[in-house]
Amino acid sequence: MAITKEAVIEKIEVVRTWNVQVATDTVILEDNTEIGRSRHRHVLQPFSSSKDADGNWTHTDTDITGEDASVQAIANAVWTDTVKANYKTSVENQGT
Amino acid sequence: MTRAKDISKIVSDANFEGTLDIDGTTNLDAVDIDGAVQMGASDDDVRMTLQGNNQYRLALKNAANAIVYLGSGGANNFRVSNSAGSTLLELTSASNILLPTASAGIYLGVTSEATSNLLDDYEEGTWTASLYGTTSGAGTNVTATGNYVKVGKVVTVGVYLPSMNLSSMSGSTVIGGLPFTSGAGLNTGSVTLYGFTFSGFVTPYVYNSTTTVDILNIVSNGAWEGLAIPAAAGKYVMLGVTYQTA
Repeated sequence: MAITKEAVIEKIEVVRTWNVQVATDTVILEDNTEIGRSRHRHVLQPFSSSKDADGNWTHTDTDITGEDASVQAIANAVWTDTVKANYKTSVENQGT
Repeated sequence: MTRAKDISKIVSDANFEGTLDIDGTTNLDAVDIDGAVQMGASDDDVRMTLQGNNQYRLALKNAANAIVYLGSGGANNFRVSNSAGSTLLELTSASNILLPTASAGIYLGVTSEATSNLLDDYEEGTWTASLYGTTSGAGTNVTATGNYVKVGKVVTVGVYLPSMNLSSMSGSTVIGGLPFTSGAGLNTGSVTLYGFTFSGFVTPYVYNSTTTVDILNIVSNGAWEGLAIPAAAGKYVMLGVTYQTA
């Protein structure tokens, strides 16, 4: 009786132009028969953005090298220069 | 093969004892019954078996020859399928109802199809919350695993961030990593803080089309503002937010 665990990219969705939503399932198998499953989600955006005390924005490219190859492929296809520029504009226009 | 009766000679009525075997030379043999069929002496425990090597289905056909199949697609599941053989609904061996596409759902409160009444999503899982200051800095213990439940377009998330050290952070307090991109709506909830300073009352807010929660300080008779992140250790946050997805 062998119990194994594997991570499966169950769903990749592109939402509102630049948001790449990733659903990763952790699947528990007993002799290759699924006996349990749980889901973890995260969303990728092209930049991590911050604003300093003078109101200047810094946009740092999101590091996706640790993502699954299928996720990287979709993110790289979606995040064109135009999309990235639009994202920056959206973030900078959304204040408190 | 031994026949119980020679049915070719039957005109109006017949009673059989034993089995009736219709056995021709092709696979096109059929029984054509123009009327009701009664099986058994009562409705109690009447059973009929359709057996096949792969798909075994009962076809229901209307006057226009439109067909719906009831039966199995080869697994030990009950399926309803259309004339093309595509599954419309499935009852799994674990007694769960399974719809064939992720966008399919159940219409509630209406007697005709209306998109606004379609409940087409339910999901529960975990997400990784990350607390940071909008200006700069990296802290310790600032990430934690939270839970979420999504029903339709509405997501409720919760997370507990204990014993954080925010000593190198600055700016306003933000928690990122929401499991779904937000949509427009009244996207707020409650937050419980330990070791933060504020002048009004504090509430979380999720702006449209983001994956972050801004912690706002609501000042009496004034504008709301981002809650300053305290650059020190020993900070705790408990967060619960309900928001709509994009």
